[in-house]
Amino acid sequence: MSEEIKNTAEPKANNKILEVDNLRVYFHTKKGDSKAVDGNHFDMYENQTLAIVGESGCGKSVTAMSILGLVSEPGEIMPGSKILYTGNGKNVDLAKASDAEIQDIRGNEISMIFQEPMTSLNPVFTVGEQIMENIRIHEDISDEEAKARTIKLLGQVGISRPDEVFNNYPFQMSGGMNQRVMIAMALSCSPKLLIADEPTTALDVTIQAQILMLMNQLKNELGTSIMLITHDLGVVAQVADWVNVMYAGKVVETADVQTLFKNPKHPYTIGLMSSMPSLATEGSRLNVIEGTVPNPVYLPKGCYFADRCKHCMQKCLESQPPVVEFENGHKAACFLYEEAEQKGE
Amino acid sequence: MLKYIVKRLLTSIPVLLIITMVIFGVVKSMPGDEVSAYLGPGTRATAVIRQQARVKYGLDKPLPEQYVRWLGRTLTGNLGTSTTLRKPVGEVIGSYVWNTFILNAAALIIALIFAIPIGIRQAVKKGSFEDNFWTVFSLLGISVPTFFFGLVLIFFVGLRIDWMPISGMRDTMLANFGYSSIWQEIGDILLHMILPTTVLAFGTFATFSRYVRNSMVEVINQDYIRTARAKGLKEKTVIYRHAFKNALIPLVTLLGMYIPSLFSGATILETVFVWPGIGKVLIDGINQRDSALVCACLVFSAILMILGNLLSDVCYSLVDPRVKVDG
Amino acid sequence: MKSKKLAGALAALLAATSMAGCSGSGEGDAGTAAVIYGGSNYVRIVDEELNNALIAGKKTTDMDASIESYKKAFVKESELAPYLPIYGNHLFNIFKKGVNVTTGPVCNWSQALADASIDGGDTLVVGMTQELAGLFSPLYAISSYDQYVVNMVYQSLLAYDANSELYGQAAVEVPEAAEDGKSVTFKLREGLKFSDGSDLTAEDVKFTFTLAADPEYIGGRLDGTFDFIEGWDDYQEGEAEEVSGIVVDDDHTITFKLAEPDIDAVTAIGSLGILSSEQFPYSKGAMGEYKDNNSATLGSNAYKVHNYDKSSGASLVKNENYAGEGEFSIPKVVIKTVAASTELASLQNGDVNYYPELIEPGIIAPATKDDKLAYDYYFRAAEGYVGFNCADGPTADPAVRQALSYATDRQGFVDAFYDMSKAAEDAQNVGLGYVPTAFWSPVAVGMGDATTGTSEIEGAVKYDFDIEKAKQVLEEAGWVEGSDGIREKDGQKLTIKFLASEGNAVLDMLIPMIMDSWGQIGVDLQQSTVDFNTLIDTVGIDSVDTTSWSCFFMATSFTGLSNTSMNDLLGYTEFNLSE
Repeated sequence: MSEEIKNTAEPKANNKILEVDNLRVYFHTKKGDSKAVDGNHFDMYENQTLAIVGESGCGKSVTAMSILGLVSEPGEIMPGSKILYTGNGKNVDLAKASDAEIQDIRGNEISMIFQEPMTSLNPVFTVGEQIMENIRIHEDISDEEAKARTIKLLGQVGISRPDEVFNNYPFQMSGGMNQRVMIAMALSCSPKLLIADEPTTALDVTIQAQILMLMNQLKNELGTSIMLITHDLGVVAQVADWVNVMYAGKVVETADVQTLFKNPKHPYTIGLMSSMPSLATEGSRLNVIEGTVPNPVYLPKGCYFADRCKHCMQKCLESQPPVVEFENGHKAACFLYEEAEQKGE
Repeated sequence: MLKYIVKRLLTSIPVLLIITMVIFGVVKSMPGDEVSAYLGPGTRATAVIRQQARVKYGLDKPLPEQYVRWLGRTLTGNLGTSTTLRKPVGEVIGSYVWNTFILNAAALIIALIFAIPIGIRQAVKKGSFEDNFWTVFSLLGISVPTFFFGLVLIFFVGLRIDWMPISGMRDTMLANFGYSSIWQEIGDILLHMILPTTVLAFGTFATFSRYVRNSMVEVINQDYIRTARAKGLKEKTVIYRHAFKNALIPLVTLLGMYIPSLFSGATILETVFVWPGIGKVLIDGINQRDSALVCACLVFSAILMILGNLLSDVCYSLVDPRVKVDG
Repeated sequence: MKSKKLAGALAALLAATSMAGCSGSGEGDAGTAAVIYGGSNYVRIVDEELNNALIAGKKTTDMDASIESYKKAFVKESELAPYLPIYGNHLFNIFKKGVNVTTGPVCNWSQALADASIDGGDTLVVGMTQELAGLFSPLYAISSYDQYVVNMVYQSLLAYDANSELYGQAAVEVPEAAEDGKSVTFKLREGLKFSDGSDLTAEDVKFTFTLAADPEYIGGRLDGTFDFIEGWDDYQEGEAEEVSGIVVDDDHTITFKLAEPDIDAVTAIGSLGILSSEQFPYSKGAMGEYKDNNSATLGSNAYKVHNYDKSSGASLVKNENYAGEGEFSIPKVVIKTVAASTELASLQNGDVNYYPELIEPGIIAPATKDDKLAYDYYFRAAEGYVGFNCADGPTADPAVRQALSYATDRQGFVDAFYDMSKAAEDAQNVGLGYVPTAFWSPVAVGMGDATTGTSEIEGAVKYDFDIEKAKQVLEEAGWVEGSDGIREKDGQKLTIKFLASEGNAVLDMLIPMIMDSWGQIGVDLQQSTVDFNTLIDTVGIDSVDTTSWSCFFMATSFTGLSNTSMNDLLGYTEFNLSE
C-alpha cells in the first residue's frame, strides 16, 4: 500500500481489476425471491470510470453493494456468482471470501461512497476521527501521521481550512462538504476502485458539478478506477469512460460512452436517451417509455423489457434475448440484432 | 454549560415553590386528625389535652401560617420532628434513604450489566429466536408483581439454601452484638441484598433491555452504519462503537431521569424483605398522618425529580454533539 | 379548663333529656362534688343505674363489695346492650421446641423471663411483624412491642406472674390499702440497683410519678391514670412544687395518699416502671430528655438495652447490676421485625425462635402441626365489638340494640373466621376465637369468667343467635314492618348506618353476614367505609357528628385485671359539675 498519495498516476496498461460474472442477488421474501440482480457480467479496468445506469429498482445499487458484501438481509448473493478482484496483485473472489478477507478489502482496496452524505457519516464522531479511523485500521502508522494525512486529504478534496474542519461534526457542515469528506475518507488508503452510489443525487446541481470534477481529478491523480452508479445520463456524459445500462436486474447494453450516446442499440437505451429533456428541443412534451418495470418477484420468462418495447416480437416473450456483440466491445441483449448477427456480423 | 445549569436551577425554584404548596395542602387535607393518630385510640386524652398537643406541634394555627412557618423552617434545614418516630425528620430520612439507595443502585448496575449486551444482541439478531426469547423474558419482568416474585424467591430459593437470608438488611446477631470488621459488615449486607436485589434487577433489566434493543435497532438501520462496514471495520467495532455510541444517547437521558428514583423506595419490596428503606417509612407516615415526615419526603422527591430532569438534559448534551445547551 | 368541662356536662344533660328512655344526671349529697356520668366517648350511653353501679365498684378498696357492684353493672349493661361483643381470642405463642417460657393472661413473655430458659442456646430471638418504635420509656411506650422492652428493662413496684397473681417486684409485697381506703404504703426491697450501678430508692419512685404529673406530660399515654392521687392536679395544673400526695417516708418506704378510694389504685400505682431520678436533669415543666430521648434506657430490671436500631430491632443483655429476684438464665434477648408473609418461615428456618401473641389461624394452624415447634396460649385481654350510637338514630332505642344483638350469628362468625380445622387436634380443642358474653375484660378480677362464658352471672341477658326473638323484640317496641320490608316507628325507618374501617379482614367476613341476618329482621343496612383515623374522629369524644353513623366496629384492649379499664377508659367519662 502506498504511504503517500501520489500526485501523478502512471497510466498503466489496462489491467483488469474486477471481474463480475453471473452475479445474482436475490431477496428472500415471504412471497418468493425478489430477483434484484439476475445475472450480471462486466469487467472493470484500471483508470477507468464505469457508469452503471438505469432507473430506480433496476438493481444498480444492489450490484454496487454486493461487491463489498454490503447487501442487507434478506438479500443474498446466490451461489454461482463470481466477483473477482484482481487489483494490486490480489486475487479474491469477494462472493466467497471470509469476513476477514472482505474487511481487508473494504476501505482499502475498494472503497464506497453513498448517496446521502448527511446521514452517511456518524453524527457523534468528528469527521477527522472518522477519516483517521479508516487509515488506522488498514495501515500501521502513528496518530500524528494519520492526522496529518487526514488534514491533507481534506485539503485535497477542496475543503478550505482543513485543520479546523477536522474537528467538525457532520451536522455542522453542508451536504456538499460532507460528500467531500466521504470522498476523502474513501480515498484515504488509495484504493484501486471507488464505488460511488449516486454520489451527487442529493446535492444541488452546482455542487454536483464540483464533486464530479473532483472525482475525475482524483482519479487521474491517484489512478483509482470509479464505478459510478447513477440514473442521470447527464452525469454519465460528463465523467464516464464506459457505460453499463441495466434494466430489471440485467445489463441490457454496454459500450464506451461516446458510442452509447451516438449509437444506442437496445430499445430501452434508445428510450432513455430520447427521454432526456434538452434545452435545445423546446416546447414539446417529454418522451416517456410507456409501462412500468416488472415486479422482481414475478419476472417474465421472456425479455423483461418486452411489454414496453415498441419492437416487441413473439420470440421476445418466450425466451431471454441473446447478447449480441457489435464493435469495440459494444454489446446489447436484444432479439432485434440476432438476425443481423446471424447474417454474419 | 455552567451558566445553563445555574439558569435551570434558578427557574426551578418557582416551580418547586408551587410544588411545596401543593404538597403541603394535600398532606394537610388528608382526613383524620394528626394529633389523634399520634395519641392513639387507647389514649386517655380529652379534648383539652388534644388541643394542647396541637398547640405544641403548631397545628392550631391557620393553614397558610402553618405553611409559611413550615417553609421557613425547611429552608433553614429544620425539617421538623416526626410525630410518629419522635425524631428529627432529617435524621429519619437520612438514616433510611441510604438503605434504599444501595438496594436500588445495586439493582440498577446489575440490570445494566445484563441489559446492555443482551439488548444489543437482540437488536443484532432481530427477529431471531434469541430476540423473541429475551422479549418474552422482559415482558415477564415487567408484568410479574414484585411481591409475588419476592415471595417466590424467598420460598423456593431462600428457604432451600441454608445460608441465604430471607429478610432484613443485616444478620440479627451480628447487627446487635457487633461485627468483627468492616468487611464482615459489608459482606453481611451484600449477602442480605442478594434476594431483594434480584427481584428489583429483574424488573429494571426488563425496562432497560427493551430500551437498548429498540434504540439499537433504530441505529443499526442507519446509513452511517453501512458506511462503517464499508470502511472495513470489524462487525464488533461497528456494533459496539459506531452503533452503540448513538444508541447510548436516549439511554443516557433515561438514566438521568432514573437516578433520582434510586432514592425513593420500592415500598412493597421493602415490606416483603423487611428492608429498612425510606419507602416503608413514608407509607407508615402517611397512614399515621405524620405531616412533617410526609411533607419532607415528598419535597425531597420533588427536588430529586427536578434534578433528575436537569441531569438528563445535561447528559444528553454531553453525549450528543448535535445538542447544545445555551448558556 | 373547668368551663369546658362544664360545657361538656351541660351538653350531655341536654342530650340526655332529649333522648327517649334514658335519664341523665345524678346528683351527689350536698357538700360533696356533684358527679355526672356523661356520655361515653363512643357509644354515648347514659343510664343512672349503670353509672351508679360503676361508680360504686370503682370508688372503694373493698374487693368483694367492688365485685358485687360490678356484677350489677354487668347485668344492667347486658340489658341496655350499648355494645355487641363479636369475638375474643386465645393468644398463641409459637416457639421452637427447647425454648421454655411460661406466660399467662396478664404476664407475657417479657414479664416471664425470670424462670425462662433455652435448651442449648443463649439467645431468645423474638419475632414481630411490626417495627419497634423505639419509645422505651414506661411513660411513653405506646405500642405493646415497645412495652416488651420496657418490661424487661424497668422494674415496677408490683407485677403479675404466670398464674395472674400479683407479687412484689420492686416492692417487698403487695400492700393493703389503709382502712379508710385513702392511702397505701409500699415497702421497697433493699439493694435494688439501676443498670449503671446506682441505687433505687423511694425517691426514684416518687420522681417517676412526678414526671407523670408534669405539665409537659399532658396528653401522654398514662395521663389521667393517676388522678386519684392527692395533690396530683395541683402539681400538674397548679403551682405546687411537688405532688403532695406522694410521701417518701424513708429510702425504702413510700406512701401514696388517695383523694378518694379507688379499687384499681394499688395495681395502677404498682404497674408503673421506675425511672432513675439521676439519669437526666429535670425541673417542673422541663422534662428534657425524659421526654425526648426515649431510646436511652436506665432501669433496674434484669436486662438492659444493648443496641437499638429501627431496622435491625433491639437487643438486650443481662444487667450485671441486677439485684432482684429470679434466675434469668437467658443471657441475650433480641427482638426483630419480620415480614408478615414470611412469619412462619422465619420461625422454621431459625431466624427467630419465639413468636408471641399470634391470632392468625393461617399461621397458628400449620405451626401446631410442626413437630419442631411448640405452643402455649392464654386469653387475650381484648375484644372485637360493634358499638352502637346510643344518642341518636334508631339505635338510641335499646330495643333496637337488643334486637340487633339477637340477630347476629356471632358463633357462626367466630367459627368461620378463626377456623382452626387445619390445626393439630389439641389446638383445635383450645380454639382460637370465642364469643364473649359482654363487653368486659375477659381477664378481669372476679368478672372475667363471666365474660368468657366459663361462669355465669345471674340476671345477665344472653344474646344467642335467634332471629325470631329479634323480630319479637322489635315488634313489641313498636317497630313495624313497612311496605318495603323495612321496619319503622314514629316515622323513623330502621336504617342502620354502619361505619366501617378499611382493610379490616373481620369486617370483610362480618358485614355480609349481618347484611343478611339483619336484613331478615327488617333492617336497612347502609355501610360506609373510611380509614381508621377518620373513624376515630367521627365517633370520638370530640365529634359532634352523631347522625352519620349508627354503629361501628372496633377491636380494643383492656388493661390488666381491672374491671374498669375499659369501662373507664373508653366507656364512661367522668365529669365534675361543681367547684
